[in-house]
Amino acid sequence: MFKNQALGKQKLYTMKKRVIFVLIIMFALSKSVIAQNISGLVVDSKDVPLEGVTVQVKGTPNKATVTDLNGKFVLSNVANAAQKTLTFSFLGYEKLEQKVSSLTNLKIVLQESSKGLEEIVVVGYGSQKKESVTAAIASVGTKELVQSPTANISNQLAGRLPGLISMQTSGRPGKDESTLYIRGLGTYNDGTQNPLIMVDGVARDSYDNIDPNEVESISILKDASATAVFGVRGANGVILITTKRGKVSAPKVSLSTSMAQTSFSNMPGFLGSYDYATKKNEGSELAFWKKNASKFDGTTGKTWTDFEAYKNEELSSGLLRWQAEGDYFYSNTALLKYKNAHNPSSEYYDPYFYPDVDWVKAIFKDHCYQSQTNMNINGGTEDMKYFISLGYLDQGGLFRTDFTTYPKDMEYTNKRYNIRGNFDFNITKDFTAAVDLGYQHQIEGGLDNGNESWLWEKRIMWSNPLSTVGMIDGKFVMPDNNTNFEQNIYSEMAGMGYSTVTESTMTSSIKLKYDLRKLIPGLSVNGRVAYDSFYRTTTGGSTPVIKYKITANPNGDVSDPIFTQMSEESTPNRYSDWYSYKWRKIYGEGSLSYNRSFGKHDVGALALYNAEKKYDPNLSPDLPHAYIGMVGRVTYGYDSKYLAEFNAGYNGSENFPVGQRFGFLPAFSAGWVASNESFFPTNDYVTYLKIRGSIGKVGNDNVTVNNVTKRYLYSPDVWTYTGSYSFGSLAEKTSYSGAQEGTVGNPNVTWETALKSNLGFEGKFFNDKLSVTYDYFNEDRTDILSYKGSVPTIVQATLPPYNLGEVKNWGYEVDATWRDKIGKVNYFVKGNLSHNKNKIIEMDEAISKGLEYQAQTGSPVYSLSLLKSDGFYNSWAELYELDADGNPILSSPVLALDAKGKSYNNAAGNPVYVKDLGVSGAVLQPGDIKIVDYNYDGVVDAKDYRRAGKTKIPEYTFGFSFGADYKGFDASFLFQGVTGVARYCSYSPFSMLRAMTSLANYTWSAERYANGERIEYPYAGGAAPYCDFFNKDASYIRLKNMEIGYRIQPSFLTKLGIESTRIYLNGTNLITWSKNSLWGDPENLGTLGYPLVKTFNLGINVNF
Amino acid sequence: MNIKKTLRNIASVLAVFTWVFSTGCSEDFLEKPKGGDVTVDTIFNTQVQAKKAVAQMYNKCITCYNPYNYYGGRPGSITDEIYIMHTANDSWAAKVNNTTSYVVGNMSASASCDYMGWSSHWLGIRTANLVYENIGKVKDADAGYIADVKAQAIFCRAYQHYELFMYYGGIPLLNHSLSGNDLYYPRRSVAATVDTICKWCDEAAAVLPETRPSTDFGMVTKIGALALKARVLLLAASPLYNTPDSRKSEVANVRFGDDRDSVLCYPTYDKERWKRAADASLAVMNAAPAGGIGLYDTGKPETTNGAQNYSDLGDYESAWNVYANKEIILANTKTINQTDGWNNGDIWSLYMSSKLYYQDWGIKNIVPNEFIQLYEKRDGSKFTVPESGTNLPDDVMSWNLDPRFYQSIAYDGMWYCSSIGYLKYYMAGDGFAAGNLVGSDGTPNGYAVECYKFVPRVENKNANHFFWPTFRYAEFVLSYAEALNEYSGPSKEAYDALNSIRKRAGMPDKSGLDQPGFRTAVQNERTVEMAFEATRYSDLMRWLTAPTVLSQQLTSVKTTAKKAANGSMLRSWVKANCLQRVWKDKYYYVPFPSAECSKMYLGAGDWDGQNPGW
Repeated sequence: MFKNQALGKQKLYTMKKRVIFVLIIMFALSKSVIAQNISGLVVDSKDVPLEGVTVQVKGTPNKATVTDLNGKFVLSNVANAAQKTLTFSFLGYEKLEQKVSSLTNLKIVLQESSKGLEEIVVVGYGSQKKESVTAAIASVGTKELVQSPTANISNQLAGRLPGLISMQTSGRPGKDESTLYIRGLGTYNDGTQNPLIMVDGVARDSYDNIDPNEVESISILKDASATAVFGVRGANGVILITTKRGKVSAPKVSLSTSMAQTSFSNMPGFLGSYDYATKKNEGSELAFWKKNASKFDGTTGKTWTDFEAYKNEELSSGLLRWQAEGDYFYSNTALLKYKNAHNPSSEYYDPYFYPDVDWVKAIFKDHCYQSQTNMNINGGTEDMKYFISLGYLDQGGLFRTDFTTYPKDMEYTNKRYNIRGNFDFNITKDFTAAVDLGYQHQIEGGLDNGNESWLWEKRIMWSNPLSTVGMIDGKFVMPDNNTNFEQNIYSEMAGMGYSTVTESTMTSSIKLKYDLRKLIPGLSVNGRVAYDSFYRTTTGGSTPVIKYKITANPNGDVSDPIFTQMSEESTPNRYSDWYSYKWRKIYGEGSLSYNRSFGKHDVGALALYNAEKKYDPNLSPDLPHAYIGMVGRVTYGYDSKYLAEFNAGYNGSENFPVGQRFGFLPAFSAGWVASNESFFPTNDYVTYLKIRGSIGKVGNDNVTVNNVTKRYLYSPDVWTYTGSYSFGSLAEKTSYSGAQEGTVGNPNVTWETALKSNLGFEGKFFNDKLSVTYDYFNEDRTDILSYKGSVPTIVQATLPPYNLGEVKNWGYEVDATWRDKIGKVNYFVKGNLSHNKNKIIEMDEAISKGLEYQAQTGSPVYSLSLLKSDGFYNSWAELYELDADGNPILSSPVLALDAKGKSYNNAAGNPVYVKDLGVSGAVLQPGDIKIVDYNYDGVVDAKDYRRAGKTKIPEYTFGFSFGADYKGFDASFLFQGVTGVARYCSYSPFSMLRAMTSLANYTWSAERYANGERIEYPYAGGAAPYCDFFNKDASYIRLKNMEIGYRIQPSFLTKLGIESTRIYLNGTNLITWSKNSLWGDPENLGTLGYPLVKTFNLGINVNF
Repeated sequence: MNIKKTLRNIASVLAVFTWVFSTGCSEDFLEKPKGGDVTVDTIFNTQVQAKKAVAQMYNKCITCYNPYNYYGGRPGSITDEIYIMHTANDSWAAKVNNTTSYVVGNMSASASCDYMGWSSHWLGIRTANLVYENIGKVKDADAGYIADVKAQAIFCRAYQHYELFMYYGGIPLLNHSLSGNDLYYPRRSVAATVDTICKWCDEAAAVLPETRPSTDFGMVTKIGALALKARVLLLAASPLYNTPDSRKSEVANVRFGDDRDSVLCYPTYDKERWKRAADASLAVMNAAPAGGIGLYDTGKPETTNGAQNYSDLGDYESAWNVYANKEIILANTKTINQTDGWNNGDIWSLYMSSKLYYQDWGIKNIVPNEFIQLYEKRDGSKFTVPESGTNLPDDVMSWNLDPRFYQSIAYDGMWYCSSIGYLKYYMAGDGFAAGNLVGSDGTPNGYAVECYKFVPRVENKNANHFFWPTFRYAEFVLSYAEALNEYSGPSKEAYDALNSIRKRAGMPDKSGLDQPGFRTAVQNERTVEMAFEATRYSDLMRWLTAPTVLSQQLTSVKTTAKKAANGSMLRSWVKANCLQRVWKDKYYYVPFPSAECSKMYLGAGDWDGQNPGW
């Protein structure tokens, strides 16, 4: 077959040669006939004729033509033809100016432009010349992608792409992906805010585990013009990932390998036993008033002196009352023992019964390692090009597991193998095929329970330093009488067992293109079939743990306790693999595309049809999920000055009833390249200027609640089997499974639409050294598919989603780059800033009269309804009049003041006192958070919540990078950050016997307040009401990425065939600046789980 | 190439393209494939299928207070029956039922004491209404079957309306499933609510059979419908709703003083309501024999020491331990299976029910001394818990209390069952290590008295026989005595009724009391007899005794190990404070969730329907 093709090609080639030969003879013959015509032939560097090259007489712009199918052109009636200069321009080739050396058989060779190729922009279902793009698109190339030593490709985008919000919540190997949002949020529906992911033109569910070395570029499509073609799936923007393809050349091998050291980016400090017990004591004393205030209300004539006497009364046990009645109290002896737990010479040394365990050290490692290796080969001939890549990643975990039964399996790890082969074939000159195969194999494992936030919350944060010493001589020990699991983090972790998840993802695609130039020049027909599949198996093991009870040795030796085994030994288990999840997806596409230039008119058109089915047993119900879509695009450009584009998607979704199933979503855009106007002064200051705008509609058909995608929203009333009940006497008892009404149908449901507009500006200044892009966008999402919130609960029907609700979303993006050189130093400085804000305009929610300030309507998405705080009560004087000794006079409470600073009355007409403004009437004292009686009704209750403050979605995201190279050296830095963001932190250091972070060092106390020390928390043991005090500012700036590299090219390597070798050192999340680092890492503030990590990486890249 | 030809070519290519893809692009591709869901017609097709809907109706309507899921701990924890002991009293244990905030006076509209929650009642009502509306579609059923199921559905609907009424006062009344736009049903007056529930009970009682085959134990009978009616009418006759002038000041804080009060109480006191209540209870007692229902009274008032088997139990303990015994008019028969694992929450509930069963992780359900003192001494005299003692088990036995005390309440040093042996709540002392039930969530506290009613004990902690008594015969005997006394003073019938319960329990008869004296006696009897059976909350509200009882300083006893002269261990004990209860008058009517009020359908005009004070 190949042989035949080759023969065919050769025939074609000979034919072509003959044609050229004939033409040349014709030119020669016509030489003397019309002297004022200029004619010739344009070819590329390989002598192949180029069609569509614009040929212009310099200085006479209206004297122009384009080359024909055979690369031939004729400019007729040119005055003084022999003295003229011609310009030749063609997309992807260097512009050429040539003096007319001969009026006929002028042969022009155009060189392919490396710059021109870079400026091709990938768009939905195609690509465009950057200069003619009228949509809002941002992209990042392979160089930046491989710069960050992170395993997951989604973590390499932060700070690189204006308009992209990236939030990482977990650092667990294999589960560390970021959540991405394009241009903020356009809907209040959780689960339907994420962009559509397209990998090489096919919608794909998983992209996280693509090896970054395989990726050519990642683009985000932001406005309607760019996303309309994705119809009902494009409302949240689109991420396009394009993998690398082969280029015509001898095989080029690139080999890179790196080794990284990973550690937690922010690990809070934890209190040791002595400090812990002291804080608990402080809490017991301070909370005594709260517990007993009702006994001393002024009305019964009791005074502060009475209270103090009561509190400090010595009981028969020898303890003072507050000590005896406190939730926790540690005696002085106990405190001394805790203090001397590591001091064998002390008389208080009692390390096993009064331990001081630094369990952070006990269960976490300082650092772990990650390695990444990739080898790829790229090359080919005109007829066959290839890109083949093999990648391997090994991510280690930061938990210590050496005390468990299966140290290796228990450790959180992720191993990944990536294989990709992208092949391009020219079957004939007009018929090409692209075959893409991708495969990822991932093995992810670690402590069981999969959910590390559970482990973190229920085990790690429940550990305290004084419950048990943990391990003695390899034995898990429990304190005297307590076998509670939370007492010993070692035995808990060891007993969790492990699970290992193996996932295989295969993606494949065959794309055929037939160029119909013979029928209609510029027309081609394309077809594509893609098949993806995914398979997951799981295995695991359990490890029974033997706990030992320790009791004091009667001989009095504190370091030699008596062990009692508390359970029988049993065998650990290892399970065989079991299937745990799979899906497969088939996608088909057919299209016609047309691109041609007629003089100054550039015309393009695309008509595309696609359909897909996904077979996924996890879908509810387990029925294949289908999409159908049609795409239309028409582009028009005049003289590279005026650009216009029309895009439309016509999609069908299974979610809607017949008649409403298809949605037509169009978008228009236009651009004006002012700098190409003849009147635009030629200068070095402004070298390029484009203004563009777009308006259009995009849709959404998806409703996902708690990770379950709702389907067939129109289906009539459904019943489900749920629950059970038994009837019959004890001997005859029978359990019957229950059936209950499920969801009611909505026969009128249809897609939600986003009306998006965009106004953009692109400019290049100072000889192209500075380039600036600015975009302003506005989105109005209407008919949002959502649930009714105002239906009386007495209805109790499970109602379906309706087309309700409206959200507006707006903002801007600025992106600027400066590139220049000083001497031999090339450098760049880049910056981008994105701003987005949104507001819920309409939402079906129940709003109480007078409580409009609690409504979500009118607030940004995710805005929290919180009590309003106003600092702390810092002295008794704020609550009661003080007597001569400075003690509160309980019978003289201080009046509360309203917004105008006047005292006011409650509903019953009685004056309101400050002391009564505790949440739901809770007792107040100095060190409590001052909660504002927001509606001034004399009580602080549910009516005083109001919706305000920043949300977890940052309003501003920015990136700033700079770098330089000199000879073989290069260095670059990327700073990234967000602001206008807050996250709620519910961690309380005083909840039961739970771990206490260093936050506990910053509790309110009269002393600390008087000294002007930093205060971050109410008094020890005080209440932490659900108020804005804990909605912490999560702004940050991060040294996200840093890289230093050196390229060595010694001659002996060249002799070995090695073209270049580069050694580099880079890192990610290296330094973080944030206001609230005490509360955790700002990016996942308030989230419990595997913390985020920072990484140092050393790598080498060799090219053959 | 001329333009005409180009256009013709374009047209033909487009035509081919359109043809190729229009064939594939039919709506069929997006049509829902067959399979997946069942519809209402599938369920109400055959009796076998319909039984699933019936089972779910019982599951949703007949409340199980024997905590079987995440909803709640013991229902008594918001009354004086139980004090939940858990560190700082603010942990998960006490939060489950919103007990934490309730007991200190901080109940809120968003976290009320409604055991199952506002929406759960309405889901039950919708489930029952859907069964009522659709059961007629069942193809293989005769008219008798359909009428029976319809009557059961009416009963279930009525039962959930009763629970709502008991918590909230007058409520919307729904006798059909809602759909479409007609969704606004306001609260109805107390009179309308009571009359409607009673009417439904009558409708059900007219159709329901007096007895059912033993395979159908758990399905409501005629006596069940009569019992519900008796409960509702007793509630309606009580001072909270039927307030005599002399007691109006006690509830003045929970009256609006205008028309809206009709959803809170009857406009005027009417003594005849007590007559209706007495008649309704009497109707239960009269119908009982035909249904095989009566007092479980074999003449064995006391449980044999070291009882392991049902035959060793006293009659009182048997009445709530022996499955399907004659005293049970209706029970929640959902299988309580302690081996099911975490999936359905049963394990959780067993943690909640007692420390006895799950020890470390269990909840200490302390019975406060104030409640213990409601148990009379064996001779009928009043009992007060002493300040301290030298050995708790000896002391408790020497108190010689009402046998029902020893059949419901466990204490440090009591023999429980063979696998547990003697209970060990004591704190360490005199060289003895602390007991194994000493702590709650890591904090030793030594509180030593705990409720064990509805905790597996017999047959060595066998939980299989567990059920929740929805209606137990004894309750209606006491209701009869109470209503009769209110209507016409302590008559012979009233004494007979009261003393029949006391006799079964092994307590001496009451006699020679005046009307207030009898009232106190019958209320105390009801409290003791029905202890921990979820009637206490309603009784405290309707009697208007809640302000006194629920504002007490609750105390308990704490034990510490002490070495006796002979070297054996004694459990020395002292009284200790548990909790200062706080009562607020607005508690009389549970608040509707704020979100419901904001939907403005409960009230009328500008009034959002919320109860007074919230």
